[in-house]
Amino acid sequence: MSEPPMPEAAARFLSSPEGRAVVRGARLRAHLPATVEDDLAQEVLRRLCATDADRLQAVDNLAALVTTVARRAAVDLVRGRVRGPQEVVRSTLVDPDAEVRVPSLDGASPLDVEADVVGGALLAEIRRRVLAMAGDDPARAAAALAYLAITCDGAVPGDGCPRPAGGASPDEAAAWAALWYAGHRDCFTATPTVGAAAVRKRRSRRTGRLRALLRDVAAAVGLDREGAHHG
Amino acid sequence: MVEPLLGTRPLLADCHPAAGVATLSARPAGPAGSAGITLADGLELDVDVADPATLVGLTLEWATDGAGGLEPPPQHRRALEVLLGGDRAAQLAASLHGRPDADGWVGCRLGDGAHLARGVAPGLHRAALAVAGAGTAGVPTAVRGIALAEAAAELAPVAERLPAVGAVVRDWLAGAADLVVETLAEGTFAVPEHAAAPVGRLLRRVARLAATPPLAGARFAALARELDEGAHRAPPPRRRPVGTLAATASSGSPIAPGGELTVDRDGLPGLVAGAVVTGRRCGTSEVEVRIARFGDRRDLWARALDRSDRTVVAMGPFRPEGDDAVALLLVPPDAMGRVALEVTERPGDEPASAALSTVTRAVQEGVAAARAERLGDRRAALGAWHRCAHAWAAAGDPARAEDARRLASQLRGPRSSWPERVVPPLVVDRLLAGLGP
Repeated sequence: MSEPPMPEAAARFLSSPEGRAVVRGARLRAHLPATVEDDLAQEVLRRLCATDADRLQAVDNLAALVTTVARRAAVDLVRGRVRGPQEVVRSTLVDPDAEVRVPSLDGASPLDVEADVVGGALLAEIRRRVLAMAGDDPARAAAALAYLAITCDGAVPGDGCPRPAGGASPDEAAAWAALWYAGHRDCFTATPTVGAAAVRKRRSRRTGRLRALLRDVAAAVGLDREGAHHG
Repeated sequence: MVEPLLGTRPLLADCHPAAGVATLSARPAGPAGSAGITLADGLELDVDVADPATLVGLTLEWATDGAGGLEPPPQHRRALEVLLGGDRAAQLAASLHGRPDADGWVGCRLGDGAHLARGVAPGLHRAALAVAGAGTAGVPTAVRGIALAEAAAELAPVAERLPAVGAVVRDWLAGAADLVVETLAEGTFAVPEHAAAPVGRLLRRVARLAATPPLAGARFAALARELDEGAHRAPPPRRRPVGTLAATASSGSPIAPGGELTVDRDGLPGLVAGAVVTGRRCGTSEVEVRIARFGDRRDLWARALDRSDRTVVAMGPFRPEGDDAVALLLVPPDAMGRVALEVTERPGDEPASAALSTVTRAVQEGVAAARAERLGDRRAALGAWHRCAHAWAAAGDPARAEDARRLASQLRGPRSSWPERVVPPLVVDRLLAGLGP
């Protein structure tokens, strides 16, 4: 029988008596209260899931790895941080204007499903996936969440939000609002150095990245143009 | 005999040979938590924030190749001798061959010095405090850079005895040059008047460090001169008219436009922990989150969480609006009655649990209290210790709550009579105290 994937194996280990003892040990060594133990275990699992898959697959002593990760998580908490070490010099890893291959803006919505299909728990799962898949590019995640709020929940952008000229599709209007709420103000304002054409192109590129993210998320949760796959 | 850099107080060692980790500490962190720095790859130091000469953790990690390596890596042996002293370093190495308990840990006591013996060298603990200041959430870029420069200036003399930290000092100097020179030159940050002289002295000190690249050194020196001449200085803070905050904080149903929404105060990061943060519904779906008098905080984000399942339903960056920082969120109308608002410097992360947020809030209040102590601001320190005690009690840690109250009770009489644990202020302390309301 083949070994389970690492995140699954780690989750199984953390819920075992041995795994719980490892997390409890890390908590006790940092003199943290018992109230945080379950959440500390959850944080350990999150860090393991965020670790490079190839690196994890090379690990042959899961208990030792979890011991180290649990200790680091407990130390970070004592340093007043839940999520990993302090970032002092922050590097920008994401180019918001990077080109992605996307269908025409006149095409179907990237989440081309009925709002009632994308309801309840599924919509919550889509939002969680958005954060998980675009966590390194918060502006892109923010745009996707705003887009979902408009297209699936009927949210109405405020008066200050720019709108495309008459004749634009609802999808395009939603994309404009999504970029606006994500903080991409430079997609709407021409300046003496950046003309209207350049602003249009920038908006188009970032809309493309938004649509690509939504399509990836839709695929990850089993949605396609016919709706959700079940089973 | 040369004294070890970590002093001569007795230490407890806790080693897990199979996991390749060993930790030494004089005692656990107090209510203000710890400040940590990486001294070299696989070697970290943590000191107590409220009593920084006290070692909370010296952590050594090494690759075990799954077999359970029983020796610290050779490149750290010399560093351990300088940090601990030869005898204690040998004791630590021997302890790794002891019989582990059921969970794989081996413990031992190192040294028998008195608890009042000398603690962690000032260069190390002040560098750790400065780096913690640089990492405070919500801090302007230039302040991060100045803190990093201060950390480098404090740690640089240590590099003479501990060459391993030389690379760390060089990294910090490079980061500081990028962060300070650009932001001050661009005019996106101005140094408060009361901190201008100490910042100028720090920049001159950093410019003279041997590890500072010549170009960066020249730029630091030029900035120091410009500061002396009155450039890069902030005007005195404007006073907000009385009553404005009360109006902002007026309550109302979140269902109706204008209604106030809950802000998760436990989760407020670092610098804005004590700020007035309000959330208000502006229309059918739009929510405004405002941090009063915190101006330009572009590294902070607001998020709306559905309290029923802690899903993030909306997020947006803060932008300056007058003296305030403001974020606009587009929230699903049906969720409006269920959302809690939070401010975070890590918008891409899943929301932290309430239990973890309470602990980090307690630590941040302790950090603020310790900073106020260093600056001699008794009133601010007492207030922060009180909030720190309250948060630790809420987190289920009555011992740390009691410790916070005990530390507050030590602040009697003039500053000169306060306990020795309160060290002189850092330059970054003055800058952080000058930010916000």
